[in-house]
Amino acid sequence: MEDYAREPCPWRIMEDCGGAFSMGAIGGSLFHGIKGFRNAPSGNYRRLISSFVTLKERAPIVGGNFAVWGGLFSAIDCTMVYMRKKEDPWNSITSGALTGAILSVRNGTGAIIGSAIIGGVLLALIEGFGIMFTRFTAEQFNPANRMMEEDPALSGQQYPTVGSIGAQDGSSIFGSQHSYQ
Amino acid sequence: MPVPSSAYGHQGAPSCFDRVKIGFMMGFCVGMASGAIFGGFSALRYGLRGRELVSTVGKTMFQGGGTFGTFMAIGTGIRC
Repeated sequence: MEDYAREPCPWRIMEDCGGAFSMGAIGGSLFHGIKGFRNAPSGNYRRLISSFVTLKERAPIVGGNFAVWGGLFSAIDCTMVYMRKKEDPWNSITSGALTGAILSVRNGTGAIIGSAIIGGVLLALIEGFGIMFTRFTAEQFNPANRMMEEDPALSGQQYPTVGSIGAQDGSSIFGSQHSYQ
Repeated sequence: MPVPSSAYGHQGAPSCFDRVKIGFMMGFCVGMASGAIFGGFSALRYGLRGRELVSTVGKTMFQGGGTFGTFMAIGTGIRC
Protein backbone atom coordinates (compact mmCIF):
# COMPACT_ATOMS: atom_id res chain seq x y z
CA MET A 1 0.00 0.00 0.00
CA GLU A 2 2.83 2.36 0.71
CA ASP A 3 4.27 2.30 -2.80
CA TYR A 4 0.88 2.93 -4.37
CA ALA A 5 1.10 6.09 -6.43
CA ARG A 6 -2.02 8.09 -7.19
CA GLU A 7 -2.61 9.65 -10.55
CA PRO A 8 -2.49 13.46 -10.72
CA CYS A 9 -5.83 15.01 -10.24
CA PRO A 10 -7.77 15.39 -13.50
CA TRP A 11 -6.83 11.88 -14.62
CA ARG A 12 -7.68 10.43 -11.26
CA ILE A 13 -11.39 10.78 -12.06
CA MET A 14 -11.06 8.51 -15.08
CA GLU A 15 -8.98 6.01 -13.18
CA ASP A 16 -11.37 5.89 -10.26
CA CYS A 17 -14.35 5.57 -12.53
CA GLY A 18 -12.83 2.61 -14.36
CA GLY A 19 -11.55 0.97 -11.22
CA ALA A 20 -14.91 1.33 -9.55
CA PHE A 21 -16.65 -0.12 -12.59
CA SER A 22 -14.46 -3.19 -12.69
CA MET A 23 -14.71 -3.68 -8.95
CA GLY A 24 -18.48 -3.44 -9.11
CA ALA A 25 -18.68 -5.73 -12.12
CA ILE A 26 -16.53 -8.42 -10.50
CA GLY A 27 -18.22 -8.20 -7.11
CA GLY A 28 -21.65 -7.96 -8.71
CA SER A 29 -21.05 -11.05 -10.80
CA LEU A 30 -19.97 -12.91 -7.66
CA PHE A 31 -23.01 -11.92 -5.62
CA HIS A 32 -25.56 -12.12 -8.41
CA GLY A 33 -24.17 -15.42 -9.61
CA ILE A 34 -24.80 -16.87 -6.17
CA LYS A 35 -28.20 -15.23 -6.03
CA GLY A 36 -29.21 -16.62 -9.40
CA PHE A 37 -27.96 -20.07 -8.42
CA ARG A 38 -30.10 -20.09 -5.31
CA ASN A 39 -33.17 -18.58 -6.93
CA ALA A 40 -33.73 -21.12 -9.68
CA PRO A 41 -35.87 -24.11 -10.58
CA SER A 42 -34.47 -27.47 -9.51
CA GLY A 43 -31.89 -29.27 -11.60
CA ASN A 44 -28.19 -28.55 -11.85
CA TYR A 45 -28.27 -27.44 -15.46
CA ARG A 46 -31.13 -25.03 -14.81
CA ARG A 47 -29.32 -23.66 -11.78
CA LEU A 48 -26.25 -22.94 -13.88
CA ILE A 49 -28.32 -21.29 -16.62
CA SER A 50 -30.19 -19.16 -14.11
CA SER A 51 -26.97 -18.15 -12.41
CA PHE A 52 -25.46 -17.10 -15.71
CA VAL A 53 -28.54 -15.18 -16.83
CA THR A 54 -28.85 -13.28 -13.54
CA LEU A 55 -25.15 -12.49 -13.64
CA LYS A 56 -25.35 -11.25 -17.21
CA GLU A 57 -28.31 -9.04 -16.48
CA ARG A 58 -27.32 -7.63 -13.11
CA ALA A 59 -23.55 -7.38 -12.87
CA PRO A 60 -23.17 -4.52 -15.39
CA ILE A 61 -25.83 -2.59 -13.46
CA VAL A 62 -23.88 -2.93 -10.25
CA GLY A 63 -20.72 -1.91 -12.08
CA GLY A 64 -22.47 1.13 -13.52
CA ASN A 65 -23.72 2.20 -10.10
CA PHE A 66 -20.24 1.84 -8.70
CA ALA A 67 -18.78 3.80 -11.58
CA VAL A 68 -21.24 6.65 -11.11
CA TRP A 69 -20.45 6.82 -7.42
CA GLY A 70 -16.70 6.59 -7.90
CA GLY A 71 -16.57 9.11 -10.72
CA LEU A 72 -18.70 11.71 -8.97
CA PHE A 73 -16.85 11.18 -5.72
CA SER A 74 -13.50 11.60 -7.40
CA ALA A 75 -14.63 14.67 -9.30
CA ILE A 76 -15.77 16.36 -6.09
CA ASP A 77 -12.58 15.27 -4.37
CA CYS A 78 -10.45 16.84 -7.08
CA THR A 79 -12.52 20.02 -6.98
CA MET A 80 -11.96 20.24 -3.25
CA VAL A 81 -8.23 19.65 -3.68
CA TYR A 82 -8.09 22.57 -6.09
CA MET A 83 -10.22 24.79 -3.88
CA ARG A 84 -8.60 24.07 -0.53
CA LYS A 85 -5.07 23.52 -1.86
CA LYS A 86 -4.54 20.53 0.40
CA GLU A 87 -5.42 16.86 0.67
CA ASP A 88 -6.69 15.48 3.94
CA PRO A 89 -9.38 13.09 5.17
CA TRP A 90 -11.92 15.90 5.40
CA ASN A 91 -11.83 16.20 1.63
CA SER A 92 -13.04 12.69 1.09
CA ILE A 93 -15.55 12.78 3.94
CA THR A 94 -17.09 15.94 2.52
CA SER A 95 -17.09 14.60 -0.99
CA GLY A 96 -18.69 11.36 0.17
CA ALA A 97 -21.49 13.30 1.80
CA LEU A 98 -21.89 15.56 -1.22
CA THR A 99 -21.93 12.58 -3.58
CA GLY A 100 -24.66 10.91 -1.57
CA ALA A 101 -26.61 14.14 -1.56
CA ILE A 102 -26.25 14.77 -5.28
CA LEU A 103 -27.16 11.24 -6.31
CA SER A 104 -30.42 11.34 -4.38
CA VAL A 105 -31.32 14.89 -5.29
CA ARG A 106 -34.45 13.81 -7.13
CA ASN A 107 -35.91 12.04 -4.12
CA GLY A 108 -36.63 15.02 -1.92
CA THR A 109 -35.08 16.77 1.05
CA GLY A 110 -35.33 13.90 3.49
CA ALA A 111 -33.60 11.48 1.15
CA ILE A 112 -30.90 14.03 0.41
CA ILE A 113 -30.11 14.51 4.09
CA GLY A 114 -30.22 10.76 4.78
CA SER A 115 -27.92 9.89 1.91
CA ALA A 116 -25.52 12.66 2.81
CA ILE A 117 -25.30 11.41 6.39
CA ILE A 118 -24.79 7.82 5.24
CA GLY A 119 -22.08 8.83 2.78
CA GLY A 120 -20.29 11.01 5.28
CA VAL A 121 -20.37 8.41 8.06
CA LEU A 122 -19.17 5.66 5.74
CA LEU A 123 -16.31 7.70 4.39
CA ALA A 124 -15.34 8.80 7.89
CA LEU A 125 -15.27 5.15 8.98
CA ILE A 126 -13.17 4.18 5.99
CA GLU A 127 -10.76 7.04 6.55
CA GLY A 128 -10.39 6.16 10.20
CA PHE A 129 -9.81 2.48 9.56
CA GLY A 130 -7.44 3.30 6.70
CA ILE A 131 -5.27 5.46 8.92
CA MET A 132 -5.37 2.84 11.65
CA PHE A 133 -4.48 0.00 9.31
CA THR A 134 -1.65 1.90 7.67
CA ARG A 135 -0.15 2.63 11.03
CA PHE A 136 -0.53 -1.03 11.97
CA THR A 137 0.93 -2.46 8.76
CA ALA A 138 3.74 0.07 8.65
CA GLU A 139 4.67 -1.05 12.11
CA GLN A 140 4.60 -4.68 11.05
CA PHE A 141 6.24 -4.57 7.66
CA ASN A 142 9.01 -2.09 8.20
CA PRO A 143 10.11 -0.56 11.47
CA ALA A 144 11.89 2.27 9.65
CA ASN A 145 8.63 3.31 8.01
CA ARG A 146 7.01 3.65 11.37
CA MET A 147 9.61 6.13 12.53
CA MET A 148 9.22 8.13 9.36
CA GLU A 149 5.50 8.24 9.78
CA GLU A 150 5.75 9.54 13.31
CA ASP A 151 7.67 12.52 12.04
CA PRO A 152 5.16 15.38 12.20
CA ALA A 153 6.40 16.94 8.98
CA LEU A 154 5.85 13.70 7.06
CA SER A 155 2.64 12.58 8.67
CA GLY A 156 0.73 15.29 6.87
CA GLN A 157 1.83 13.82 3.58
CA GLN A 158 1.21 10.24 4.54
CA TYR A 159 -2.43 10.58 5.36
CA PRO A 160 -3.79 11.85 2.05
CA THR A 161 -2.57 8.90 0.03
CA VAL A 162 -4.00 6.49 2.54
CA GLY A 163 -7.20 8.43 2.73
CA SER A 164 -7.65 8.55 -0.96
CA ILE A 165 -7.12 4.82 -1.37
CA GLY A 166 -9.67 4.00 1.25
CA ALA A 167 -11.98 6.69 0.10
CA GLN A 168 -11.88 5.60 -3.46
CA ASP A 169 -12.58 2.01 -2.59
CA GLY A 170 -15.19 3.08 -0.14
CA SER A 171 -16.96 5.24 -2.61
CA SER A 172 -17.60 2.23 -4.69
CA ILE A 173 -18.57 0.17 -1.74
CA PHE A 174 -21.22 2.62 -0.89
CA GLY A 175 -22.31 2.31 -4.48
CA SER A 176 -23.36 -1.22 -3.72
CA GLN A 177 -25.64 -0.02 -0.98
CA HIS A 178 -27.03 2.55 -3.30
CA SER A 179 -27.91 -0.12 -5.80
CA TYR A 180 -29.74 -2.15 -3.20
CA GLN A 181 -31.95 0.71 -2.16
CA MET B 1 -2.13 -10.53 12.83
CA PRO B 2 -0.39 -13.61 14.15
CA VAL B 3 1.84 -14.09 11.11
CA PRO B 4 5.43 -13.21 12.00
CA SER B 5 7.05 -10.41 10.08
CA SER B 6 9.68 -12.77 8.73
CA ALA B 7 7.01 -14.23 6.46
CA TYR B 8 6.85 -10.97 4.53
CA GLY B 9 10.24 -9.81 5.65
CA HIS B 10 12.01 -10.18 2.30
CA GLN B 11 12.45 -6.76 0.65
CA GLY B 12 9.86 -5.29 3.01
CA ALA B 13 7.13 -5.05 0.36
CA PRO B 14 3.97 -7.08 1.02
CA SER B 15 2.91 -9.52 -1.68
CA CYS B 16 -0.31 -9.36 -3.61
CA PHE B 17 -2.10 -11.84 -1.41
CA ASP B 18 -1.09 -9.94 1.70
CA ARG B 19 -2.55 -6.77 0.28
CA VAL B 20 -5.80 -8.48 -0.59
CA LYS B 21 -5.91 -9.89 2.92
CA ILE B 22 -5.35 -6.48 4.45
CA GLY B 23 -7.99 -5.03 2.14
CA PHE B 24 -10.46 -7.68 3.22
CA MET B 25 -9.74 -7.09 6.88
CA MET B 26 -10.15 -3.37 6.51
CA GLY B 27 -13.40 -3.78 4.60
CA PHE B 28 -14.61 -6.23 7.21
CA CYS B 29 -13.92 -3.76 10.02
CA VAL B 30 -15.62 -0.92 8.15
CA GLY B 31 -18.57 -3.12 7.33
CA MET B 32 -18.92 -4.28 10.92
CA ALA B 33 -18.83 -0.72 12.21
CA SER B 34 -21.27 0.63 9.64
CA GLY B 35 -23.53 -2.38 10.10
CA ALA B 36 -23.57 -1.70 13.84
CA ILE B 37 -24.46 1.96 13.32
CA PHE B 38 -26.99 1.76 10.51
CA GLY B 39 -28.39 -1.65 11.38
CA GLY B 40 -28.75 -0.60 15.00
CA PHE B 41 -30.65 2.55 14.12
CA SER B 42 -32.95 0.84 11.66
CA ALA B 43 -33.66 -2.01 14.09
CA LEU B 44 -34.44 0.47 16.85
CA ARG B 45 -36.74 2.36 14.51
CA TYR B 46 -38.42 -0.90 13.58
CA GLY B 47 -39.24 -1.34 17.25
CA LEU B 48 -36.97 -4.21 18.23
CA ARG B 49 -35.72 -4.32 21.81
CA GLY B 50 -33.67 -6.65 23.95
CA ARG B 51 -32.71 -10.06 22.60
CA GLU B 52 -34.17 -9.57 19.15
CA LEU B 53 -32.36 -6.28 18.78
CA VAL B 54 -29.01 -7.84 19.61
CA SER B 55 -29.44 -10.76 17.22
CA THR B 56 -30.69 -8.56 14.37
CA VAL B 57 -27.86 -6.08 14.78
CA GLY B 58 -25.34 -8.91 14.94
CA LYS B 59 -26.64 -10.40 11.70
CA THR B 60 -26.56 -7.02 9.99
CA MET B 61 -23.02 -6.45 11.19
CA PHE B 62 -21.76 -9.73 9.76
CA GLN B 63 -23.61 -9.20 6.49
CA GLY B 64 -22.18 -5.72 6.09
CA GLY B 65 -18.73 -6.92 7.03
CA GLY B 66 -18.84 -9.72 4.48
CA THR B 67 -20.08 -7.50 1.68
CA PHE B 68 -17.68 -4.67 2.37
CA GLY B 69 -14.79 -7.05 2.87
CA THR B 70 -15.41 -8.82 -0.42
CA PHE B 71 -15.63 -5.61 -2.36
CA MET B 72 -12.60 -4.11 -0.69
CA ALA B 73 -10.60 -7.28 -1.37
CA ILE B 74 -11.59 -7.11 -5.05
CA GLY B 75 -10.70 -3.42 -5.09
CA THR B 76 -7.22 -4.09 -3.76
CA GLY B 77 -6.86 -7.17 -5.96
CA ILE B 78 -7.50 -5.43 -9.28
CA ARG B 79 -4.74 -2.89 -8.74
CA CYS B 80 -1.78 -4.92 -7.62
